[in-house]
Amino acid sequence: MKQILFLSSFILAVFFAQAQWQRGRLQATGLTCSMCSNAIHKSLEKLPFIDQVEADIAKSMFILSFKAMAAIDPDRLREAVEEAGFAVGSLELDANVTELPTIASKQHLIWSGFQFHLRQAVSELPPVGTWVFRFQDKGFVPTTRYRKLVKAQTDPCLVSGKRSVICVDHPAKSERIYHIELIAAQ
Amino acid sequence: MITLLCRLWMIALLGIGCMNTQAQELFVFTEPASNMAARSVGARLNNYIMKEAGSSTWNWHLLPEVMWGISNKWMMHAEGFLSNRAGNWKAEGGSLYAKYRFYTQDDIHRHFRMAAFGRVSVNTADIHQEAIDFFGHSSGTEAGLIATQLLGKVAISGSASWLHAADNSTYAFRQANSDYGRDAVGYTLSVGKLMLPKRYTSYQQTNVNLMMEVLGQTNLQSGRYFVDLAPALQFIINSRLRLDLAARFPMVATMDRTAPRGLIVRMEYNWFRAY
Repeated sequence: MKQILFLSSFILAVFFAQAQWQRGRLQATGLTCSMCSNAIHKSLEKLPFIDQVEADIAKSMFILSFKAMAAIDPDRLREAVEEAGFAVGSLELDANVTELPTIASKQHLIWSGFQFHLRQAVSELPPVGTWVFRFQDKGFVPTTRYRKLVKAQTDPCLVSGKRSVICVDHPAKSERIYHIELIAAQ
Repeated sequence: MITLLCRLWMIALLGIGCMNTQAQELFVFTEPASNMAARSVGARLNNYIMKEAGSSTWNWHLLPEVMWGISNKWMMHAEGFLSNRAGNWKAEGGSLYAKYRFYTQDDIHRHFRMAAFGRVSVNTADIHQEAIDFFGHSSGTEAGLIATQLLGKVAISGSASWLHAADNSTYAFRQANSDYGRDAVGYTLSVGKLMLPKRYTSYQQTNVNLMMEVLGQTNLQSGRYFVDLAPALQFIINSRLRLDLAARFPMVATMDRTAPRGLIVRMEYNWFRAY
C-alpha cells in the first residue's frame, strides 16, 4: 500500500512539475506609500515557492518569479498580501502551454495541481503558447469588481471557491476551484 | 458645541487646502484604521518635550514603545513612561493599546477602513491637570472608533473615543481639584499628504509626508474642553525607518492643562515579517 502511495505521489509530482507557472504579476490595492509596498514585498518574499519579487511601487505591482519545481499556491499569494494589511487587485500567472490541455465539459481545466473554472467558452481558448491565467475569484479582484462578476453569472462555485453541484466530477470533491479568464500573452 | 464642530471642519478643510489636498496616514498623534503588517514588529522612541505654562521649564517625557502586528486585523502597542517632570528622571508607568480593523474597502491607491481600539494606562505620577492624557500622564481606560480614507497621496482620518480616568497610584484624580470630571470624549481629525518622492522608483527613496491633526477633548462632567492643532513633518527612510517632527498647541481651551504646548520627536523602526 505504502509503495502504491509513494508511486502515485511520484507520478503526481512529475505531472505538476511539468505543468508549472513561469512568472506572475500581482497588483495590490489599498496603498500608495513605499513602506506599505515594502511590507507586501517582504510578505511575498517569505513564501516558500517565491524566488524573487520585483516591485513597481508607483503601480503597487509585484513581478513574481518562482522557484523551479516548487508547488505554487495562488491562495498563499493572496494571504501574504492580506497579512501585510492590503488586498489583491489582480493576479496573473503565465504558463507555457505546448499542447492544448484536455478540458472537461463545464469548462474545467486541471493545471499545476489545481482545478480551474474557465470564465470563457472552450472555443475561445488562446492558441498554444504562453497563456495568462487571470484570476477572478473573491480576494483576487477589487470587491466592487467581484460583486459585478457574481451578479453577472450563476455559478455557485464562484462564490464558494469550492466544487459545487453543477461542477464536473472531480476526485477531490472539496478541492479549491479558481475562476479564470485565459488570454494569450502579449 | 455645534459651533465648535463647524469650526473644526473649517480648520480641517483649510488644512487640506493649504496642503494641496494630499497626505499619508501614518499620523503622529493618532492611529489610522489600518494596521501594521501581520507578524511584523516595530520599535519607537517618543519624545514629548512640553513647555510648562507660566514657567520657563520644559518637561521631557520619554516613551519607549513596541508595536506588534498580530494578524491582519489585530495589532498591539505597549509603551513605557519615563519623564523628568518631577525634577529628576523617573519611570512613571506604562500603557497597552490594541486595535481591531473591522471594515476594509480597498481599491487601487485608495481605501476606506474602520477600526475599534482600546487602551489601558497606568501612571504613578502626581495628577496635575483635568485633561486626560494616556501618553505619560493619566491612568485609566479609553475605547474608540477610527475611520480612515486614503485617496492616492492624501489620507484623512477621524476618531472618537471615550476616556475614563482612574487614580494615579496614591494620587486621587480629584485631589488637585474636586471639580475635575473622570470621563471625557476625545475627537480627532487628521489629514496627511505624501509630498516626496513625486514618483516612486525604489524603496530607498526618502518619503516626506506633511500632516495636520486636530485633537480635541471635552470633559463629560465639567463640560470643559480643549482643541489642539498639531502640524507634523515626517520622513520615511529606506521604507522602514520613520522620523516624525511635530508641534502641538491649543487653539481653544477651557480645561486645566499644565503643559499643552511643545515639540514631539519620534523615531520608529519596523521589521516586516519579523517571524
